[in-house]
Amino acid sequence: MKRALILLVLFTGVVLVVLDRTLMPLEPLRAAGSTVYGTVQSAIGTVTRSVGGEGRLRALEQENARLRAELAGGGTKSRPATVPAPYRGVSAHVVGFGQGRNVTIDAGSAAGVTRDVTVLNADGLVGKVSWAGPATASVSLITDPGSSVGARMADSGELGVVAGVPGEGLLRLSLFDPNAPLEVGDQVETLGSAGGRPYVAGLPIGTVARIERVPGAATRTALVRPAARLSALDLVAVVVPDPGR
Amino acid sequence: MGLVLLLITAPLLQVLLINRSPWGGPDLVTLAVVWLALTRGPVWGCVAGLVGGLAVDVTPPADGTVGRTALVLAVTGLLAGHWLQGKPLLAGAAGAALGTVLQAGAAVALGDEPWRSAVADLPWTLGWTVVLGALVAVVLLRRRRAQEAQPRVAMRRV
Repeated sequence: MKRALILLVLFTGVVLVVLDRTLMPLEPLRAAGSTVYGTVQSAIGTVTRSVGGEGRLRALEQENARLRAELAGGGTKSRPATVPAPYRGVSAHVVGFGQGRNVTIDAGSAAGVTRDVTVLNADGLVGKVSWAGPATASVSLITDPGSSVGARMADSGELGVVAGVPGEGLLRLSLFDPNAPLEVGDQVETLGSAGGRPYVAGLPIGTVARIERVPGAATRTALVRPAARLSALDLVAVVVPDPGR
Repeated sequence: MGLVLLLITAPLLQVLLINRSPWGGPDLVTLAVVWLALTRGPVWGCVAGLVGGLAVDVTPPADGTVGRTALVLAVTGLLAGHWLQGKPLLAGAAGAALGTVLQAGAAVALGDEPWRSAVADLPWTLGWTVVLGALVAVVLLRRRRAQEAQPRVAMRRV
């Protein structure tokens, strides 16, 4: 009896993995997890925000208002990160932190959030939505070692790729031209993808913090400090395709 | 009962509190599974591993394979329950270490995480989990043995 139960449990585990990997993704299970655990995360986030001090609340409200104003203006200023014109911005709070470089936000498919769309905050690029549940969504940050973002130097226009560096809060920039001019303090922006998914163009990614000199390398590499403080995320905006256009 | 409650709320506490800490933190679900296995035996450990692991797999922001942590923790709970005969300190530490390492291994093997990031996160989590697992296992088993001894005394009195 005991042995049968143990075998049943182990068999269930194997079946779950095989089902999710090969036959069909177990979306109902994920959605249930998002509904139960995600909703509790959002609720606790709301409670901690409301008791988290008046000044903090006011600062966030001001930031929120500024972001909304910039959204309404359609991104007239280029330096502060704004949602570009043909898209709609959904504001959300970061409520949960994963073990890797991913976070939960309290907006899901009910608010129009879908997979593979840009997430930014007032300072710059944060990451992209890796999975959208009914009430919450998972965001994989740009510091995730699995992420790579097409990049353009703001001044010289050189193209490259920015990837996460494991264990550190930094990014590694590889410029395709090994002789490209590169200096500490240079600004890096997103290059943008077709249709703005997963990344829209022209958002600040960060500034060059340290140039790595590897003789004979095929690419020019440097470490980049993210413009957004990814260890202290709170209010973010998700760029979703506007159904009205 | 307290441990079962911990098992259900552990995924939440993990994403709300522990993963925010800049000094790393223990893997709460692994700890709950190992402690349950040590106090109630391998069958409980195995079932608790499946339930707790599944909760971890579907708690946002997890976006890996569903069932990965469930399978790994079921095996961990089963083995930790069998090690009950040994010293509680060792059994707790070994169970916690096994659960943490197997989870990282499974994440890499199934392609959910690049091995570099799995290895970068591992030492801190491993340290916290093993130390807490061993210490609390000693306390739990001592209390359980005391509880097992008490009813017999009470029955004799009656």
